[in-house]
Amino acid sequence: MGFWQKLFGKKKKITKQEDIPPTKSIDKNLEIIKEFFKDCEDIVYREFTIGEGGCKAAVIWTDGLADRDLLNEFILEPLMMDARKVQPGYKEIKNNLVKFVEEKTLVTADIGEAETINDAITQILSGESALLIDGSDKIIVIDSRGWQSRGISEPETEAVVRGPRDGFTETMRFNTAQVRRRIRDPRLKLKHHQVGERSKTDVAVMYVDDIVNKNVLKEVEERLNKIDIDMIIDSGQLEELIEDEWQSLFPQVQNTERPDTVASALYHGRVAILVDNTPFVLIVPTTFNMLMQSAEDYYERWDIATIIRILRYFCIVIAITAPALYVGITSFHPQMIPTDLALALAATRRGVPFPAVVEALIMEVTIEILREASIRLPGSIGSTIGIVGGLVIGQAAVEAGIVGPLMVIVVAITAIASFAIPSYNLAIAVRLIRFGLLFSAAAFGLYGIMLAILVILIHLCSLKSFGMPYLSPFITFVQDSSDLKDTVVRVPHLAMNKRDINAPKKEKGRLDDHQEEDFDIEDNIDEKK
Amino acid sequence: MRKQIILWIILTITIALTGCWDSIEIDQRGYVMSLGIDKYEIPPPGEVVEEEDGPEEDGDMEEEAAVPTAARIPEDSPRNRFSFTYVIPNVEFLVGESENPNIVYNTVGQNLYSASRILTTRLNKQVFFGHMKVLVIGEDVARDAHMFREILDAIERDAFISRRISVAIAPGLAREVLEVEPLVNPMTGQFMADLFRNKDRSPRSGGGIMGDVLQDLHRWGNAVIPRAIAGEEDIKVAGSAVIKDYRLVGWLGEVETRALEIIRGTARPGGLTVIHESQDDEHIVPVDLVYLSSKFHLDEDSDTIRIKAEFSTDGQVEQFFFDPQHNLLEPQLIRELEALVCKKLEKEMLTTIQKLQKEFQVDVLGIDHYLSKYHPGLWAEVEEDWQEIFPNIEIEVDVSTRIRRVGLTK
Repeated sequence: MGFWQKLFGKKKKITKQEDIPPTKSIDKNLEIIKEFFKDCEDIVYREFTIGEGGCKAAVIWTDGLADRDLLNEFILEPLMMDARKVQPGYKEIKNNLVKFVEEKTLVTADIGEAETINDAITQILSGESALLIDGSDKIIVIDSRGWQSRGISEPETEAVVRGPRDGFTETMRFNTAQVRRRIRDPRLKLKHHQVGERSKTDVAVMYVDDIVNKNVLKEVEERLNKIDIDMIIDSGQLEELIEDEWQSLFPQVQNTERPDTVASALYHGRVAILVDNTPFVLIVPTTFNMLMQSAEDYYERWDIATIIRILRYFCIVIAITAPALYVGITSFHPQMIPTDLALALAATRRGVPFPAVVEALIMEVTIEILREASIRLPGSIGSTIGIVGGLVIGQAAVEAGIVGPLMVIVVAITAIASFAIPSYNLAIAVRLIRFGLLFSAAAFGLYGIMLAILVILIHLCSLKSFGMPYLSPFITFVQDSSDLKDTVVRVPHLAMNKRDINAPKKEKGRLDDHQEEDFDIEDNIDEKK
Repeated sequence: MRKQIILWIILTITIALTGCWDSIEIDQRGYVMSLGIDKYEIPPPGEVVEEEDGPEEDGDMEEEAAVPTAARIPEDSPRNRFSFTYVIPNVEFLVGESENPNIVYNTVGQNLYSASRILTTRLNKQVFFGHMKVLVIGEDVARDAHMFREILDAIERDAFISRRISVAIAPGLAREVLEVEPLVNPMTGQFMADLFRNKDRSPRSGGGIMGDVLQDLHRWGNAVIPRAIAGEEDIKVAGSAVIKDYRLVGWLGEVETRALEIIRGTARPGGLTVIHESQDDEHIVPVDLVYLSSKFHLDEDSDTIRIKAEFSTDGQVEQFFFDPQHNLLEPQLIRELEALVCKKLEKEMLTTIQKLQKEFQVDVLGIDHYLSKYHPGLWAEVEEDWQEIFPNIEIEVDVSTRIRRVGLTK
């Protein structure tokens, strides 16, 4: 964090603005606000008179962010039309007009008051509308948010065969609602922050009050408050600003588009950070193990889920080491493979003019280009190009004698294996590590691979995410060995009677009130008798 | 931060400057699949030494062969002690671009290491022993204890040569065995390695695993090593050479080898054919023996050393005679067959033991092993003079056979 302070520390003094309190005169207030919104032509000022012969008033909102129907029907109509029709008239309530309006006239669900004009401006820009009444130094803020947004759709990056199909959207309020729908518990807390000096992006911190690890929560609040930056567009930026080691290749914050994943994490005592304008929600603390899990593991049968998890760990090993192993074995240790294979390899590599490492690099870079390009290709031809690129280039490269056929298999397996890693941010880290290992293998053979893996392991062991060791519970049981129940294996839900490593020790049991009780059926029957 | 950058720079430089010093691409290695070792002999004058059997891989290699090499100089230099035969599979053959499955190199040298180094002046690949399958030692080398021990040590010391390779001794020249291109699998090394693996079907050769042979030799200097005989278009691995005090003292035939393997308990007896005589007829009955247990017992009551060797085997009848009269399920008939098998096995074993005791006077039966393990007191007394004592000990053989299956019937 020191780095960011250094980078943005100076700006603070310049951009700091003084708070301006509203005055009693509406004209003065309007003037100030208009001065702020100079050349902002999407701000709408509606000036009118309240009731019959009443005082001047104005509603200000941002066009497009506020719900026009709501403004017409429930704010302007009551104030302008209804106020004339019903008693008491303006003159009778002249002295406590604001209170009367707030309590009896405005029929919208949510209203509030802005203390300062700066505050009111932020609210207006968030989609609320501000009501100014002459003779009052209060600005009434009416919740009129209503903008066009994408509907809830299936999360594309974390699709499951079985499980809920709703995903987060770009509007934070919908997202918190989706989480709340899964946790009907008043102990689920939600705290708002605003991050970004200019963007004023809403950030919500969600946690379950009694289960959450208080230290983590404190750390999150602290780091959020420390952020000093002009804007946050996506949670990815926020992630980088609050993570422990920004130099590390490994992601220390999990992100997800799935409300069920967030809800499950909250139930286990983790903290969710929701950022407005992005469907990706951050969850901390994050361990390596969590990045290797998929939501579906919990919805499918436990034995299948266990085998699939083992397969995934196998896949990450392949994704990291396969090309390096190919180079190491063919260039340094051909005695390690069966004789027939060694001879066949020697025969097929006979015409290849490059050393194995160059051969591997050519194919790896090709596949990386294909991957990068296929993201931008239009969906309809993307898959075709993928197949054409993969198969045709691979086949042609072999026939042209640039690479050996086994290399094509190795690269293809590696690419496929890296897609088996559930979290995309871990998968792209693996892509980079693979190249490091490749060079290490080219220089020192299997010995080099071992050294590089050692370096990676040492780094992983020292890495922490919000105070949680990154490799827990493998390197240390944070509390007890039951932490291992949800790692490479996934034990049946019946046996998963404890929360995972994040929950504080006294809240470890999943049935808090009666975790000591014995659920033996026979006992219950005896008691009834 | 600065320290980290410096660390990374140092790491990068170390890796970059080290530059793959041990890296040899897989196609740049010459995989020696089998190695033959003979004693160097001065060729008779006038006779041209045939140097390479297989044609070279490239045209330029053939030109180079015209250059006189060490093998061509017909002079008895003290450096020329061994004649090595390297069989390297031709990878061109594997992809169907060449007719010759093997490239056979023959070179002369003082020792294996320098000969292999000298070979690289004639071969555009690195000689690589990591995939070696078979070592064939010529009779002359094996008969010379000094040379034999040199070779054994060189093989044992080499980090790349596996302990699991097969070793065989060729009567005559090892080179003649390796020059054969077997019809089934022309890659001689692979072919021979597969032959050794067939031991379970017919234990007519010794084990021949390098590690086991070395272990035997380390203990008391005695071992049996399979015999490899060259044919026209095949190689036969059968029979065995008896090594005593690190030198070859004689050969055991195929049947004798089988008997020896049964006594040592290292192989299943495999097939055995007995002749069953009934009142009016004679039938050839092959029996497949699939199980063997062999045990030695020391008769402690006796004054002299008396060893009782007990064997029990299980087997099944593979063939009898198509005749409704006979019923192999009759216990009487089965008992007769069992007795025949026992008798035959006993006879074979006694002949072998006789030969080892009287002719070679070497204990490769494993009795020394047994005594040192189970009767350490007695062994301490006899260990020094075991070579002299062994020929005079009494060995009894007791075989029990059970025929459990007779195959399908009616």
